[in-house]
Amino acid sequence: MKIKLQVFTPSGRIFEREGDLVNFRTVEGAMGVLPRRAHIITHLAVSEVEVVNDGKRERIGVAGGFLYCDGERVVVLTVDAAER
Amino acid sequence: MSRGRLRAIKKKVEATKSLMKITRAMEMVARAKVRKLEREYRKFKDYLAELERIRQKLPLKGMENPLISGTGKKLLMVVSSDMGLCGAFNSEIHRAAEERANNITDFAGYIVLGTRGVSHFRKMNLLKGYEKLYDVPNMKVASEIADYLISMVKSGEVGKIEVVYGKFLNALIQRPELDTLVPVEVSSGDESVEFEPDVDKMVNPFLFFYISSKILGYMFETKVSEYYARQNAMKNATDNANEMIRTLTLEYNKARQASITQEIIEIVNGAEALKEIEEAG
Repeated sequence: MKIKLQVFTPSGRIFEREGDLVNFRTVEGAMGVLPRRAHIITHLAVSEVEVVNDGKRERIGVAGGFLYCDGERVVVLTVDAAER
Repeated sequence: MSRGRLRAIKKKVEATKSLMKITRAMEMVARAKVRKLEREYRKFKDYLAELERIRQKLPLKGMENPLISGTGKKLLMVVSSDMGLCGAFNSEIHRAAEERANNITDFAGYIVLGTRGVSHFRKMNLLKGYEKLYDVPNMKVASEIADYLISMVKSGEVGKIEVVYGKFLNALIQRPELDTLVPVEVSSGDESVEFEPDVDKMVNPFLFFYISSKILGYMFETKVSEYYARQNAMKNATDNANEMIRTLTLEYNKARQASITQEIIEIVNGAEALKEIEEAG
């Protein structure tokens, strides 16, 4: 089972990838979520969100914001984001 | 019928024609702009829907926060447009806001967005006005406004904030709508959700994020409504100009015909008179 990362900004959904693991940094420290993780809401730091799919890493920079994970989807809401 | 009258009518027709060119151009500009803006707004709505989902999962109910408890004077935020020529759109919003303000017992004042609104509310209880906002609403302005509003609430100057904005129902109908921004609508949350950091630490940044996004939403919707209102107003103006040209042209032709008939009568009468003189002589 894969987990889907979706990044939303006021200009809409600008990033969507499937992966085995999503890494990110909250205001209190780094975290990673796997598929079927218990639901969690976090406050993101200005950092990069990384999605790992079959060992391949993709990153997107986010200007803080909030992250919600329901085990199937990781939704990032941020004011601005940019792909590397 | 004099030649002067004919010339006057012709002048009117020319003036109406050039006016019609302008209104038609404005209609087309509004139509092109609204298409782009609506696309942006649709994308923004996806973002807002996800944000609402997070809000419902956060157990903010009963929290001690001035943005949630909402006690104190009431402030009215009016979202209007920067430019006119969009029919009664702005004046309807202003009227709705004034009516609402009259019904509030502990009214603190207005915060107004948009040049039109600022000039209308200037002589009233205007606390702050934001003029010349950009074509496509952006988060920078929205968070600036949110910052100001939240500081007002935190300092205890106001406790509640209501918003009057231009709701977009469809391409033909846009009407002023009242919404409550503060106290923020909160839910008792979802027990199965974990939080990182704790909700207590998250509440303030989240409320700031939420309020600025909501403000951006009001700005977006009012902008879309404004362009549709302008498109409709300019379409009506073009239609009216067309109708006016038709009536004036008809009047011009009648006047022209009348003057021709008059001239013919004069010539015939003159000829008749000459003939009579010749016969008599």
